[in-house]
Amino acid sequence: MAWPEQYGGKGKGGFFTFILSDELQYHGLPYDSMSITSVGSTIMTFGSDEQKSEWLPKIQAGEMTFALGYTEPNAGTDLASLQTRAVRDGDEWVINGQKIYTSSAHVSTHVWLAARTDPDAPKHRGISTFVVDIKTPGITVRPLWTMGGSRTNETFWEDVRIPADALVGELDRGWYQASNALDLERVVLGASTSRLRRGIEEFVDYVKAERPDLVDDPFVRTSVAETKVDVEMARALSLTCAALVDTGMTPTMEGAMSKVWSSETAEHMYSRFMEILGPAGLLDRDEQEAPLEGALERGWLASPISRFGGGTNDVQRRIIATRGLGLPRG
Amino acid sequence: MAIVKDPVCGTEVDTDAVNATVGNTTSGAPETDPSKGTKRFHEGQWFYFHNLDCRMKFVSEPGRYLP
Repeated sequence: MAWPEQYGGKGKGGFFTFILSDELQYHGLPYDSMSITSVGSTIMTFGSDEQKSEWLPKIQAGEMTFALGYTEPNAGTDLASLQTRAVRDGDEWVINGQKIYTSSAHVSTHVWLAARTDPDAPKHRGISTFVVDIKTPGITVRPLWTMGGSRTNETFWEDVRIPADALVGELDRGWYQASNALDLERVVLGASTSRLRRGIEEFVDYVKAERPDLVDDPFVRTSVAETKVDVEMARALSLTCAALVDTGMTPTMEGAMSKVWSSETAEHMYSRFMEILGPAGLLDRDEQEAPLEGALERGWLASPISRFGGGTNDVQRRIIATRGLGLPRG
Repeated sequence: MAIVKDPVCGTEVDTDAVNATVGNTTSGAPETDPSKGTKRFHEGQWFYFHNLDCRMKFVSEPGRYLP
């Protein structure tokens, strides 16, 4: 919706996109923010005219969806240590290596891939970014199941041949493209607050209907009120990001703050609600008596992933300190 | 069937089984069975492991497990 009309958008801007995404999430409806806001917007900034004309309308239409191919077993927080190689061979690139936590590779049509194109360059240089069709021969997907019940993947890349024009942006300057996409990814991750807003509403409804003994308890009222404040803070940080995107800026520090706050708020929220309900709050989702049909247990188990996805919260705090506040790198 | 030894623990790993396609993603990419083991591309070649723990040990200290 925020994209220019020439790429299939409506030219509505960042606020409109935030509101749309927020409402869809609130009602549990899918919206592929990662493909549109993170990858698509990065292609719009760094891609060639041909790439933009070819890919952006398809991304906008949901015909091209992306898994993010950054992390490797030895390159997560230290992403610049990635070892997956892309070697030029005539009109093609040949990819060898592996990625881990390639979440949504099992439901995506493409991978936004960061690979090393110059192994002799300093590690932050010599990386390039590519758009790769996931059906390309040589790619295999291995499922990994997380403790919250959601699926992520490893992907293996064995002599994967992709066309030369799959390269996005300048050769060996992929770190900047990936950083831009990661900044926007954090905006997306931080903006996942409508599910928390709904979580509070459902919890309050549950307590009023099923646990009237708790409604006058000062501890309960204070905990719920504090959670509401935290969630609205997260929403305000997301709106700040939307405002910056609206003016054409990439909200590096603001995206990091938003992601840190919303991911930690989610953990605190589920933890507080489980504590309020006492032993009942600890019931497994398969237990018939589990409150809210096990939503608290599911949410609590799933929430730590958000602290790691898009760069750990420790890294985000470092970004805030260095790139945001100008403190020297330690 | 190609059998190799996990360089960390010595367990035998069937590389064909690790690489065998057991299904497809919604977009048609081949999926493998995670219970058959995993692998790692290191300095130009693939090494096979019977589980993620062994691979993690290898990734953190490859020199210790290479001949």
